[in-house]
Amino acid sequence: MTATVAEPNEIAPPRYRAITFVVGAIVAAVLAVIFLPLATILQRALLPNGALDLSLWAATLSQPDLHYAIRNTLILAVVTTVIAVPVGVFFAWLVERTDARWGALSRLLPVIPLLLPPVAMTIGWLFLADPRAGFLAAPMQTAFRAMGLDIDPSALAVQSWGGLILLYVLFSVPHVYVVAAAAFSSLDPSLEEAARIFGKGRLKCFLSVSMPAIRHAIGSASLLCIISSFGLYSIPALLGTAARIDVLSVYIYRLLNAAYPPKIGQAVVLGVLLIVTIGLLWLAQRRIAASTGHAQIGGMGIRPNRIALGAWRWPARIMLLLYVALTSILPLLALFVVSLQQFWRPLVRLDQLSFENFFEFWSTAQSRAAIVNSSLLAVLTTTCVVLIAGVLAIVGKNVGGKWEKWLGVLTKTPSAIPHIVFAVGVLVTFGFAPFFLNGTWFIIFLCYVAVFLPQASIAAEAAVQQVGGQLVEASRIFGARPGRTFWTVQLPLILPGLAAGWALIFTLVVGELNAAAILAGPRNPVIGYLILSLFDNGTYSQLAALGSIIGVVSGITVFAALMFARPRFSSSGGGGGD
Amino acid sequence: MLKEPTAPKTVAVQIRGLRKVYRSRARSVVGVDHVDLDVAAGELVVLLGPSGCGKTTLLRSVAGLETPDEGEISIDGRVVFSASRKRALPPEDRHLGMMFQSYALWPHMTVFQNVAYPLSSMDPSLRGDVRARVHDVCTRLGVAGFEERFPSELSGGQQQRVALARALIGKPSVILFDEPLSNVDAKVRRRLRQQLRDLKHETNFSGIYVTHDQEEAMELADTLAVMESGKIRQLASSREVYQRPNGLYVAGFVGEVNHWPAEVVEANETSALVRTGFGTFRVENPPEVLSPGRTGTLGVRPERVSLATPGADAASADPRVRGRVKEVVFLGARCEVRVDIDGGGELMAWLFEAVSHRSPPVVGAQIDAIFEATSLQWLGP
Repeated sequence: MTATVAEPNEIAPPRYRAITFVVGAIVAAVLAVIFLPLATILQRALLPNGALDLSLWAATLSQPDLHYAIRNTLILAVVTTVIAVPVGVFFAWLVERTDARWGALSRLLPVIPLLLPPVAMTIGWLFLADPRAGFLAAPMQTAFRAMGLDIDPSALAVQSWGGLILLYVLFSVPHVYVVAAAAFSSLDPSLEEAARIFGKGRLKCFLSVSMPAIRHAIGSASLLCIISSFGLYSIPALLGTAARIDVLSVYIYRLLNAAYPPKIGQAVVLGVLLIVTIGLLWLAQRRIAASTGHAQIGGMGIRPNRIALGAWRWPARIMLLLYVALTSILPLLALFVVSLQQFWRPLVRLDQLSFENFFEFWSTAQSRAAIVNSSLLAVLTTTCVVLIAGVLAIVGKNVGGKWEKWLGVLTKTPSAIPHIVFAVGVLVTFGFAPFFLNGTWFIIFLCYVAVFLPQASIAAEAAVQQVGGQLVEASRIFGARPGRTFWTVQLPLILPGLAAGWALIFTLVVGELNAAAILAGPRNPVIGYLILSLFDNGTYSQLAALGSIIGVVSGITVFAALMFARPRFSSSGGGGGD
Repeated sequence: MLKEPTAPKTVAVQIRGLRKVYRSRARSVVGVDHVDLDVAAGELVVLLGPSGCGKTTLLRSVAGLETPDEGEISIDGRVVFSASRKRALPPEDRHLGMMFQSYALWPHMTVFQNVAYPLSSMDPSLRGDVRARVHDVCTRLGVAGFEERFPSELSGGQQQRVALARALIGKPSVILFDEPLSNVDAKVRRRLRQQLRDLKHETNFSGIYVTHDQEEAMELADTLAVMESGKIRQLASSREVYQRPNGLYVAGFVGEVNHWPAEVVEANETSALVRTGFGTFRVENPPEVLSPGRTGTLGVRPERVSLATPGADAASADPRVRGRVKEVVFLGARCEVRVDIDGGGELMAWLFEAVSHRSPPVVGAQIDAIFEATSLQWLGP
């Protein structure tokens, strides 16, 4: 004990405690939502009857169908990565480092597909490239015939290896693009200028200087690509089934929904295996990402010189536009057209188009409920998850060191768990005694919060990283306590980043299929549930109407979110008064 | 350090025994090594040194952005950090102003909001008329009329003046400057320095200023602290540091200096005789008492060397050496002449344009280099 006189206002300012309490509560809640289901799954897989029992593992792993599914999953993941990474990096280079970009708009072009739920893109492509009724099938066949090639229409089917890979790639490119574009924008332009001065051509410059300079980001994007391919469900569920190409995610879904009684045990075992595999990959990815730098918002803007593409400028732009057409415009158009038709057919007759499907759709109580539930859920979960991620990212940055690292690990844990597996965990944990949440919207909410936390916190951490440390330090130097620093400096500066994250997650929640398949039912329908049942029933016009609605709602919401938080800094940060 | 006796001043910042070690798994690096420093009220102390010498760590420790391992810091007589008493006030309670290297203006706030920010953190009774105060300080800094703009709409120099306005407005006890001018171009930097000196004159703020630019340091410093590996090597006025550096490191950091290995032949309290490869010279008032046999360095600033045709001005008692002109470089206001000294060694002399124009030295010609009286310095080992 020391006898120093207490100087209360100089030691331990009181407001830190309130913040600590709030953050502690958030962390505890997040821990519970993530790790309770996880623990339940592990317990069921390893100790099914209270003792270590591996007979379940033997039964699971001996299925020949499983081997086939694993092989397919691996092929898809590798081929997708090999194609999507170069394409995404190339697009990022075009937009960030060359004069192929035009205005701020071109920065958005490659990420437009992120704003359309993958399930809407998939349904759109089904309508486009179905061998019999697809809008592109007949014209393409004619075109090939004109070239003297007589091709069987089924060779052009989207329900094939080619189609699956195409859609996987279209889905993955924007994810690669986002990572690569961030790396390019922080790359010192003089590296490339030097290469040009020493006489390298444009392509040579891209291959020998720009690409190697961001190799960390490329490695990181590749792993991201592999991981997301493993967990992808909507594309193989809607297209792979017809092509008889099963993948792991669909296999797990079948174990739960196509078997009676549901083989929860086997699903759980596969879930654990996937968790371990993805977890290892993810650790590697984090290793690489940690050594990759971040661009920062500082006091000064750098305007790098862009490489002039000359005659290649327009071809490059057309390529970007073509990509947007393939991922967004064409599928959306197909959706609209089919939704206006009475039955899906390749011939469009204007006089037969009507909004009948929408009216019919809206008149069903179940569909109405699904849309209302999904919209409310999407707004609620997205807002919650983004706020949680934002607070945790800021706290992590402020405390730094080991705590920051562990907060990062905590928030990313769900990304190592396929949604469908996690949904099973949530169902088993919260669905029955003592919570009895089965059939409520709240159980879906819980699942979504955990499942989308990784994306939200990646967006939030990137946003927080971008706010230069000195901006925050300056606030404290000028007398602002951490709370005020948060509200007046950190939050307004990361808001654009959070809004972008919000928009991305909103679209994912609206079109979410996995958790919906497990947790939603007639009592708590959501859009994902509706999509699966419409698809199973073969009511394609209704499906198209639903896809159109998702597309339009997502588009409007995302646009509004991005407008709301445009980083133009024209809105007041509240610096003028208290 | 000896300092002229002045009236007792109040101390704005007092630093005692400050030490900060950065530890990583592989090794630990001493950032600041047992530094003592006083900043009097109204005094601007400039910390000068190369990157990695600990000057920024010292500044950030005063700001409260770093937590030192040992020592004590008080600001305005209030202990803000004490390792032994386990006290560390957060930066917001230290009542400081600061200019950052990156400006650190908040991009989402207007100039007005940026400048008013320190006031709105204050107790309302101390705040006064915010609008009038912001306008006043902006006018003084020449950024009035920009209040509704965003920082991104201003030039670098204007942004830096806004940052200065923000640092000044709260009338802080001390203003900290973290290389604030390193990001603006040379011309703007010169103007901002002038402006900073004028402001210093008007408002008499106390401050600590970190820079690696010796010209900037000498122009702004009331007191100059030259730092090396976490320690303050010399602490004195700019003039004293330049004219009587206490070692080769300091002499070389604040300007150019000719230097040669030398050995003390004889010495007394006020002067010493030292021998070099090309002659023996007397050094007046060495910075420490020397004893015969000590080896070290003899130095002379190039502008204190004049050149003459061999044998001319023989009446002058100033020491001289003979050599051959090796190179003449015209630099505008001055002319740099390099001379190979007979007997080994090289020497550099700066001649002002007026002098060199009258009798330009010729490469290859024999020449006498004359060291001005008292210009020869003992620069230690």
